[in-house]
Amino acid sequence: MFPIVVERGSSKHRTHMMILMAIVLVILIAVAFILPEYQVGRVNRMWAMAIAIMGLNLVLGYGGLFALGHSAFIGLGAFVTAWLVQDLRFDYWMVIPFSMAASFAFGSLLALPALRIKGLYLVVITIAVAVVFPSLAKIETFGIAEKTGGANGRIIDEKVIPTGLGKALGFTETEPARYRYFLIVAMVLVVTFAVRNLLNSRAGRAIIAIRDNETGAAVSGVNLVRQKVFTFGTSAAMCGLSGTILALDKGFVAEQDFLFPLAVEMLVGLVIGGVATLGGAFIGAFVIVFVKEFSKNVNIDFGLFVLDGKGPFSALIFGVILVIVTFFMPRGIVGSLKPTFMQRVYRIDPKAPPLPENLTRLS
Amino acid sequence: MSQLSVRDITVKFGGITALDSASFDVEKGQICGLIGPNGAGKTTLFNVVSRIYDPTEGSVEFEGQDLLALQAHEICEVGAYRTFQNLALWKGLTVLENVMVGAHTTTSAGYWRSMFKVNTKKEESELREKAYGVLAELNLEDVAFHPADGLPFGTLKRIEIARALIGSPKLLMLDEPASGLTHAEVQELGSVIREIRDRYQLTVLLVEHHMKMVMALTEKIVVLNLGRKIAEGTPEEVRENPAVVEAYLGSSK
Repeated sequence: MFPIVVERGSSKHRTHMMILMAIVLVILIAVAFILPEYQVGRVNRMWAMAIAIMGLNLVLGYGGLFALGHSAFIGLGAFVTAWLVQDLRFDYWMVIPFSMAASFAFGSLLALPALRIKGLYLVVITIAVAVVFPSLAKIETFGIAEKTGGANGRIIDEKVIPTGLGKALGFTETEPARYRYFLIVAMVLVVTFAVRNLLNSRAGRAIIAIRDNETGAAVSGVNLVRQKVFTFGTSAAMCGLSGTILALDKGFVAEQDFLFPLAVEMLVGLVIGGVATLGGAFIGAFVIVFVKEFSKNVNIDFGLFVLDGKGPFSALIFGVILVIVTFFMPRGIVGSLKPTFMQRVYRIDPKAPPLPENLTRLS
Repeated sequence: MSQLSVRDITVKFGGITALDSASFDVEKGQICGLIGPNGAGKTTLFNVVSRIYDPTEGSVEFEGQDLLALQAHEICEVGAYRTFQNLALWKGLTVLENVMVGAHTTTSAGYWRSMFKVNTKKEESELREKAYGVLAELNLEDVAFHPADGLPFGTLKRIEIARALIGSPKLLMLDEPASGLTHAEVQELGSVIREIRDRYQLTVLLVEHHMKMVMALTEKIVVLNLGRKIAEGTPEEVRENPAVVEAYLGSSK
């Protein structure tokens, strides 16, 4: 029976994929109705982090560029959202293209140092950006602090009033997270498929080629400057989208939400999930949102001593979980389990294209 | 007029002169060997022509076009492709994908089109077929879906040749293709290079240490020593040139 082996593109493969998609969709929809409102909010946060981690993965995992300042892109997306919704009265879904565009521009700009600088030096420069960014949000000139809320933060009091279909399905004003959930899931699906398509295409192969051997990529005709700028920009745009989701979900933006530790958290999620794997972003997001939450609820009575996650030990418990996972799965959860899964459970074999009719082999 | 014309190329790295006013021409359809002892500047010259290094002085023209005005990623647009002595394959991609990237300039799907699969299906499947065909020509289709890593060195070298061939080069620059190969593989490689030249009507510029192969394969040889050109001519002429003999064997004086 196992492993199940199918050929890529065969009718069997397609049927399996349809079934899988159907199951995933049912689960995704069910989550919104089964979980209580505050948990749906947390799931939304997980989706937001998954999109952001996927963005980081594009630059770091597939592009091989060690950038560690992606908290700034999330922050920019969130502030643009606050500004557009509060001052210009945008609907929440109309904000998305603008926050993505702003982050794309910012990210492309940051790609410029990455063209010359590599490895640890690029890490330091991107960290600098992440560290400086929250302070920039507090600058009084140009009315920046006014738009971002400065040091006090800013409430986004956007009211979700379900109309039409939303109303018919029974959504109410008191459940904004549940109402937004569907748009967020739709965005997650679009982003995931876009990234997957990208990685299996001419542009994606060029990104990986630059990572594995830059000189080889250049003499094969890959424009290094353009590819790197686009990779950085796309990655930042995904983080901008993530920032919009986070800001709306929390209903509040403040510079202290986008400090450097957020970038580290994303990196932790990426490494735990699996660098350069598509599914890793979701596992990673789950870990940094739910496992972290779980570590706060741990309460083990050792008789003499109670290990209580509510106190300062929550970070310790979370840390121990991370250490154990990385110790047993050094290439991340997805990266480590995938080979075994393909060997034992399910594998898609590539389909060889037809040979040319007038093939003459060289000796 | 010759197809590739290298004029007075000088390359200095700090105080070291790697190439000192080297000039030579390669005719269309020729297999031209570039030889010399270690440190002669052969690979440096290759890197200048493929635009990885900028020369301090001199000019390189390919079919009347100034190559030095181009960037590294633009030289394959004029039809110049190269391979590397120590391989420059991409381990994260399969062998087939490696060859597909070789045709980067002849395909067009950009970022947005790739992401949302706008009008890419035909191009992608044609590219796959073409890459598979090129691999089959070099008898490599069995490893098409293997990562370009952990295969025998000779196979990897052939994959690099396939990657260059898919772009329909006019000039194929091979940097020590025989290094690390077994005796049998070297002989096979020699005939493959000649067949490729005949079939694709291209010019081959070959850096090689394997003298027997160079002598048997090339129509013209340029000899470099310590950055200078010391001889040029047919294999017979070069073999009898006293300066070449001295560079390789040392003089008795």
